[in-house]
Parts: sequence; C-alpha cells; structure tokens
Amino acid sequence: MNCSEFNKLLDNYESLSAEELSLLDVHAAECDVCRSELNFFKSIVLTSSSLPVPEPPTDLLDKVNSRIDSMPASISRIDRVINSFRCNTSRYVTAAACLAVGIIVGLNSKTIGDMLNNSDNGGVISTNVSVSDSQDEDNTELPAEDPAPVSETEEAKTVIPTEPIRSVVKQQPKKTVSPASETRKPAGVFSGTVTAGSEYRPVIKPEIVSEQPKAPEIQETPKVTEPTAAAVNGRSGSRYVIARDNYHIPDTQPTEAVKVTAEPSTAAAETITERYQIATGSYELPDDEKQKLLKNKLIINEDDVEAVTECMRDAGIRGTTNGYVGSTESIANLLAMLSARNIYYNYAECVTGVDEVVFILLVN
Amino acid sequence: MIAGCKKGSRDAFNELVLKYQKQVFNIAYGMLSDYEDASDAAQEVFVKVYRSIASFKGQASFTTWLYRICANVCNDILRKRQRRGISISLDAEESDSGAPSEIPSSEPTPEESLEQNERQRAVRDAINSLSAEYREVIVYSDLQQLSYDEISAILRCPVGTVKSRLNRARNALRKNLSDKRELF
Repeated sequence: MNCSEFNKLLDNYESLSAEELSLLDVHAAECDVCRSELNFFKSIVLTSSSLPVPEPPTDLLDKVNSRIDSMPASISRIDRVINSFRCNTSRYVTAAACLAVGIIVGLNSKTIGDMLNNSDNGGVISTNVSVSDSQDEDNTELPAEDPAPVSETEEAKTVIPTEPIRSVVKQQPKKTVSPASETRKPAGVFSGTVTAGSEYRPVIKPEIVSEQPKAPEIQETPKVTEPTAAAVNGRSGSRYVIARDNYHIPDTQPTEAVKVTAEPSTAAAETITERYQIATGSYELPDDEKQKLLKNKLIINEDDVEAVTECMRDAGIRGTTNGYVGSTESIANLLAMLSARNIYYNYAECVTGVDEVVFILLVN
Repeated sequence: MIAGCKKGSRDAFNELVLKYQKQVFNIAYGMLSDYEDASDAAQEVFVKVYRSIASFKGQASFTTWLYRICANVCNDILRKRQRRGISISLDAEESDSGAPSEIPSSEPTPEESLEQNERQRAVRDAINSLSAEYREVIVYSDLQQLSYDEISAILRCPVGTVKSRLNRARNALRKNLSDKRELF
C-alpha cells in the first residue's frame, strides 16, 4: 500500500473492514508521515469522545413541570386528542377502506344479481344485438342466448364471432329452398334486424321456415304476388326500412327488373325494395334462377364504409351491376382483412360452391 | 413507567425525566455547546414528550424516539441561531455561565491538564463549526457512544449513510484542526 491509498482508506475510516484497518496499521508502521496522520485522526476521535459534559440543571424537572402546568388545560387535552387520533389514524383509515370495499362489493353483487335475474338468456350477458321481439318478422338470428327464435330444424349457436363470419355460417347446415312451401324462406338469407344503436354484430343463420315457423320469420308477409304490400306492411317496420334505405348497390344500377311473380326466373330486382323484398319475402323461384338472384350479403357499420371499401379494393373485389364480385379466395382475404382491422361485419353466405361470389353490401 | 405516562400519571413522567435528563442534556449540550441553550432544549424535549407520549407506538425503542425529539429540538435552536447570526464560543460560554461545570477528574499534571483542556477546546470549537448534519452524528457517535444502528434509527437513514456522514464529519474535523496538530 502506498501513501495515497492509505489516505483514501483513512478518509473512509468508519466504513473500513477489519482487514483494511489492519492494512492501515501495517502501512502506518512503515511510514512516518502516514503514522502521524493516523495518530492525529485517532486523537481527534478520542478527544471528542471524552469531551466533558456538565451535569444538567438540578431544577430541570421543576422547570419542566412548571411549563406543563402553565399550559392551558384545553391545549393539553387537545394535544392528547390529536395524538390519540394520530395514533388511531391508521385504524380509522383501514376501517374506512374496508367499509368502502364492502359497499362497492355489495353494490356490484346487487348489480350483477339484478342483471342475472332480469336477463332472459339464462344469465348470459351479451352486449351484442338484442334479441328482437318475437313478433317481428325480420329478426336477427342471435346466438343461443335466446334460442327461441330459431327454427326447430336449426341448431342454435351461440356465436359472437371474432373470426370471419363465413366460418360461422359454414358451420350451419345449408338449406335449399324448396319451392313447395310458400312459407319457406331462402336459406342463408339475412332476415334479421338490428336494433338501432346497438353494438352490431348479428349472426346470420340460414333458416328454414317451418310450416308453423316461429318468430322472427316473416309469417305475415303477403304472398309473393304482392311483394310491395309485404314490404310496406311488414311487421319489421322501421328496421326493415332501415336496412332497405342503407342498401348499397354498385355504381351502376341493375338493369334487369325483377318481377315478383310466380315465375320470376327472368326478372331481376328493379328496385331496391323489390330486390330486398325478394330476398326476404316468400316467393317461388326455380332453383337455378334463385341462385342467380340470391346473393351473399356483407353487412357493416356506416362508420366503416371507407375502411371496408379500401379492404375490398385491396382484396381484388370489383363492383358490378349485380353487386360486388370476387373469387372465393378474395372474399376470404377480405373477411380476414376486416377481422384484422377490427371492423365489425356480418357476412351472410347463401351461395357457395361457385368460383365467383357476388355479394351486396348493406350498411347499418 | 412509559405506560403510566401514557395514562397521564405525573409521577411516572417525573420518574422518566429523572432517568433520561442527563442523556438528553448531554446531547443538547453537545449540539449547542451552550449551557443555557442546552437546559432550555432539555426542558423543551421533555415538554414535547409529555404532550406526545400518547402517540408513541412502541415500534422503536423509547430512547430512539426520545433522541429523535432531542435532535429536532436542537436543530430548531441551531436554525434560529443561524438566522440571528449567533455563534457560540467556548470562551464566552465559560465566562458567562454561572452554572456549575464538571471537569472529569483524571488527576493529570498541570501541564497535561492544560494541554488536555486546549485539545478539548479545539475539538469543541471544531465540532461547533460543523454543519448540523455532521455535528449530530459526531455527538451521537462520540459523545453518546451510540452504535451505527442506533444512530440510523434516530436519524431515520441507512447505516451506510450514517457511516458516510461520520467519515465526512471526521475529515472536516481533521481539516479544521490541521493547524493545531501540535496539540494532538
């Protein structure tokens, strides 16, 4: 150890280990200057430790008692109360916190209990589209929260899709519409309604209207010969109208008019009303013609139109007079893009097995 | 005794004062280097103890709590002194004080006594020149012979901080006393 290191150790004397202290002593034994410095240091410590201290005043106790006695009693009491409060503050705070937690838990329990009791879906809380009135003919098929509206032949599924709805739709058995029954609706047709303002994510289910279908089927719609009346008189009312009004068609209007007659095979929908009405109302068409008229539907929110349009463009979807057209792969890409961007959509697929898919875009 | 004080027993409190007055006064005197100020500080300490004994929860030892009050009182007095620009010297203290002061009896020779007194005076002056922060660690360490842990509990700082302050205090004393090395 050199003198520089010695001085550094001496500057940190209180923090030295036993080994370092011995090194200090060893070097001090060899170096006069450092030894003198160490002795000076130790002498200061020794002197400060032995500084004389006078005895306290003999009347210290009396003076203290005099000061206490001269304090106003109220101050003394206040002091004690304050100190007692300070002493128990933590207890008060703890008790208050426990009480607050208990109240919050109690309120939440009550709220949850109320929600469970008031819910008619067996306790499943859903923020999705509410179950529409059973008397409404245009009701959205909802997940199994409320299986009542579902046809007997269909299996209700509780689906709150987070993946492309197509996969959900595919899980459902495809039903072909038989022209035999007037009460049947085309399979896979979106006959739902969306409650305005709800967080829209309806589930599309193809359904076969039985002879005695349950709501929300369009039981009361007039026969196909009077489609217009059906549209007007339909019980779906405004919701039906909403879907119709927001119906998006490609830039070019369809040129073919669809006549809703007993044999509409040669007719295309002339108006939006008729087109939509054809899709939802009761009509009879031959199978091959139905395939032409029945289109898949992509339902989105109005706020997402721009984003969806962009995705459709990226996916290679093109617009035609009949609707938007794309390959099955491009449709799948589109739905994947929409999911990736967290864009709500509902895709009703009623036509499958074709190379080119035509769908219409409905805006909520 | 402490329980009795919490209940408001004056006898218990008196007993407490008698037991701890010397230690409190030593600390006060070491910090303030003035008999009257140390006496006033000791009184203030015990009055505060009386008023706040109910809040003593017993989490720390009573002496730690007591010394903490004593340090606060002494620091308050030092701050007041600084604001008033008062400096205390040993010479003035000895000449003004009418209170008895006890010199430890070691029966040295007159020369040794003189040298010892000179050394003590020099160290006392050097301690007085320290900042309050360094002064209190020297008082607790050298005058009160408290351990690092006890000082750490009183000052509410880590032991490492106590050692660090003590190192700096001693280095400052060495520097202050470097021109009086012949006394040591």
